[in-house]
Amino acid sequence: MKHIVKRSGRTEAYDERKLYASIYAACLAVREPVGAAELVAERVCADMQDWLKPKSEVSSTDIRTHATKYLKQLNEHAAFLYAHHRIMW
Amino acid sequence: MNTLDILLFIGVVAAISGVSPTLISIFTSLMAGTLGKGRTNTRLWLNGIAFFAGFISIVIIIGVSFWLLLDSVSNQTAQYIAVAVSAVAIGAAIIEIKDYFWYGRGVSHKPHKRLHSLIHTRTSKRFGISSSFLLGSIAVAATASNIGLVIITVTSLLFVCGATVGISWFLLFGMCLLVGAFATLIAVTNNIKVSAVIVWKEESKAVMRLGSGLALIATAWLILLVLSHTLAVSL
Repeated sequence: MKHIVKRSGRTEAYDERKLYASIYAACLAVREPVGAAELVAERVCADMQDWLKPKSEVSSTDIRTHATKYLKQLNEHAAFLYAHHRIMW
Repeated sequence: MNTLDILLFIGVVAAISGVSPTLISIFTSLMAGTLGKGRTNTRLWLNGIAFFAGFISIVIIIGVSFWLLLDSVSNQTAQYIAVAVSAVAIGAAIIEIKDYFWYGRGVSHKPHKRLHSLIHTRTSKRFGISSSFLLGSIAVAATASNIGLVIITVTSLLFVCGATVGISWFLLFGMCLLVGAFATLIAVTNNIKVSAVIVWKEESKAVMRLGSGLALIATAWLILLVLSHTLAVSL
């Protein structure tokens, strides 16, 4: 089982559904159709699985950075929103 | 200066102050979150209007409360309070203008960490109408050091000008403060991508801070001119 180290230092098990949901939401937020958003989220999750394979523990920041990289190849606007999910003042 | 001049001045100050990076950030997050849940334009409008209603309610509460405070003390004390407000406004304006040159460095107008996480939760997990109303109210607290101060300064200006207390003043003022957020709502409902709005906000946030700082200084200066009888006002 993969472990994710959160920003707070807390550790939790990797949950692909959470990644899928956030990518899917980012795609919908840039008005991508539902079907396309599902495809993009599936592709990014599959790419992330390959990247995670040799690792036993990664930080949530690393996950976000790599997911953004993969997402950028598929939808630049969604990648921007996903990368800047935290409000910038 | 007559009523129309004062109204025009306050409207311009509110519109400039309302185009605040903090307020636009919170509002775009609400829009992105609502769209991310697959909601339609109708829901965007409903959430936007609820946000505006929450925001304006707090503007009215702060404005009327401060007005009543000024009204409850002697005229001389009220004038001292107005001078103190002007001094604080000028101090805050200097910080805003500093952000034009060195954005976010040193002392800066940022919401408290706890408020930040509260807003993050509200804009990423809850998208109901009541939640949007609450977010609008929280947005005033998050922008207390700039928009909150503008509300207090404008209330002081209205008081020293001798205007009669009225919710309509603050309703109008609150609406002008939301010009930037309203433009964002129109843009997003007309298929402009939220990411494009965020990019625009990031590119212009230093100029927004400069405008807000100058508007605060102008209001504080006007208070001092009225109090020193350099400027005659007939309302």
